[in-house]
Amino acid sequence: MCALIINTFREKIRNKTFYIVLIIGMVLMLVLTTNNSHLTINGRKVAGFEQMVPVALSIMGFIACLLAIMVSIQTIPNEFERRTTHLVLVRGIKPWQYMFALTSGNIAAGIFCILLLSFSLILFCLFYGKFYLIPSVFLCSLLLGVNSAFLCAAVSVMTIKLPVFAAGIGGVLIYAAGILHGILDALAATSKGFTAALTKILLFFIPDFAAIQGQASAVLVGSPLDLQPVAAGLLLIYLFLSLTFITFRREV
Amino acid sequence: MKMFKTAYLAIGIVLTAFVLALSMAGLPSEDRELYRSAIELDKRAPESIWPGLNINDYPVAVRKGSSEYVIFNNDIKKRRPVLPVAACTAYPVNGEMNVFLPTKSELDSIGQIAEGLSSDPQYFFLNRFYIESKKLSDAQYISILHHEALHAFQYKYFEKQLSLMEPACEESEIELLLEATDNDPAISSLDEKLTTLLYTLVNSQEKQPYEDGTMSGTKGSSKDIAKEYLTARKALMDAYSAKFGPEKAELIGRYTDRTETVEGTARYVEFKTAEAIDDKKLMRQYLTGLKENVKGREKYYRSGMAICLLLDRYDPGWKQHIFAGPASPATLLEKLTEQF
Repeated sequence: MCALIINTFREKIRNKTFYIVLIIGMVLMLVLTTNNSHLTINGRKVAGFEQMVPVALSIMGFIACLLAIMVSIQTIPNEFERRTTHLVLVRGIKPWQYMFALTSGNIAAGIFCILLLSFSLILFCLFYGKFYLIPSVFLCSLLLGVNSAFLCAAVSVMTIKLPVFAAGIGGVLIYAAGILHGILDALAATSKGFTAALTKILLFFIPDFAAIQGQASAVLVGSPLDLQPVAAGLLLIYLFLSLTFITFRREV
Repeated sequence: MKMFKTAYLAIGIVLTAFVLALSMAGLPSEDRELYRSAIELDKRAPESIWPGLNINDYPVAVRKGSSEYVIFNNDIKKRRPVLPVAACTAYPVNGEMNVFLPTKSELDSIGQIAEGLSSDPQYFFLNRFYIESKKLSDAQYISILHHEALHAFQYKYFEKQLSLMEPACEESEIELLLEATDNDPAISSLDEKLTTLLYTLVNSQEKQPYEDGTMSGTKGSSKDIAKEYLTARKALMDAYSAKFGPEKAELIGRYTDRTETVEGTARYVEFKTAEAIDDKKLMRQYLTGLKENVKGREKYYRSGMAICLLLDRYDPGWKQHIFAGPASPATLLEKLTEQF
């Protein structure tokens, strides 16, 4: 199973598109956060390290989630299309092990991508003269990696059953719901009825991406950490990964 | 494979236990600190916000997700939410008035929804990608806590008197009438005139409005504007009568008086809390809000607060008898202008 995970991971990181998007994202993040003369948010000019950290992490989080959807969306459908599934299964590997390995490989690629993106975060810290924060960048990137890993797991599980485009839309919707989690939660809490109940149930299965990004930001600016959203995110990754034990395609 | 399964299961158990332990940590320290600040404010400046109003006298139920933390008598108890939805309100629980509020972070989200819907929706969504988007200040949260505590105070001591002010109809009927008044150009123009007059009145007497946080100034110059305001208010009632008939006009009048009495005083308490905290930015926010032409029920919150600020100027003891009457702030102002 480990070999399968490593193979999936290798195949994913060999993709050229992956690096093109990654480089564009890194450049975009650095241009926006180190050229502070134009950026205004809520009508206020955003300048200085503390104010730029959330902006940098938001851009990084967005690029990482986009890449997470990109790397996960094709892995499982491609295996079925190429008929490699049969070759693997005849060697005694069980369907759940196969799906689990492919999903884990996707998660590893998602985390690898956030680690690569963290180089731009290191450059960002160096630009502002915060050399001592370089070790914190890795912890910060790992926290952001929770969001990417969740998206990888969710999109991978969806691709087992759904067509690629539907899984892609699903991934984008999950990302939007994760970023707007706090707001949707508050909306659901202030309303009654079927929609409110349904929203609460759906949100229960999606991590609060904004809160996790907030914790990553807290690591860099030295604010106290709230581990609850991060732990909830990890548990949801575990839950989605566990779904690979029971989700199969008929072809398998 | 057996080892993998065992390890995988163990990871699941550890993660679940970790999440449960973190979620049972109770009320966030931020909310506990805000409650403590509110209590200290009541102790530091007793009677300055509202005579007899002490947050300590009421259980404060802070809702976080699907749990409610009731702070009372130096103790925090967890319970299932009493209300079906998260709300800022006061409501009796087992015969005791409770103050209800979501946690600061949840109220921030609700505030962002209101902010987003009232401004540019695209800007609202863009803001979500920026982590530190617009949030309530601590002073605002403490002000809202005092607002709801005043409702608990009103219903604990003056429920009977306040119920006499209720219009004899359903809320939905009033809402329809208010919508119709907001859509009528003649009535809207009178409303705008009232808003301008009140704003001018509240800001007229101060050399530098609220710069030093006090209500200094002389009575003289605003007398005529106060009379003009009350005349315009009567003209508005006549306009209601002409459009809807005398019965419906009376309903709107009663609704206006009641909302200004119950909610206007509560909004005034928010302002006084900001004043007690000495948050000049927040005070200015309340005052500049008075010149906005808002629609629906909100306009009576603002007009009520503005009239209360005028009553402070003309009769500093007005708070002792406002709910006992019951008399609306506008009725008290009218009586005072007769003595000018």
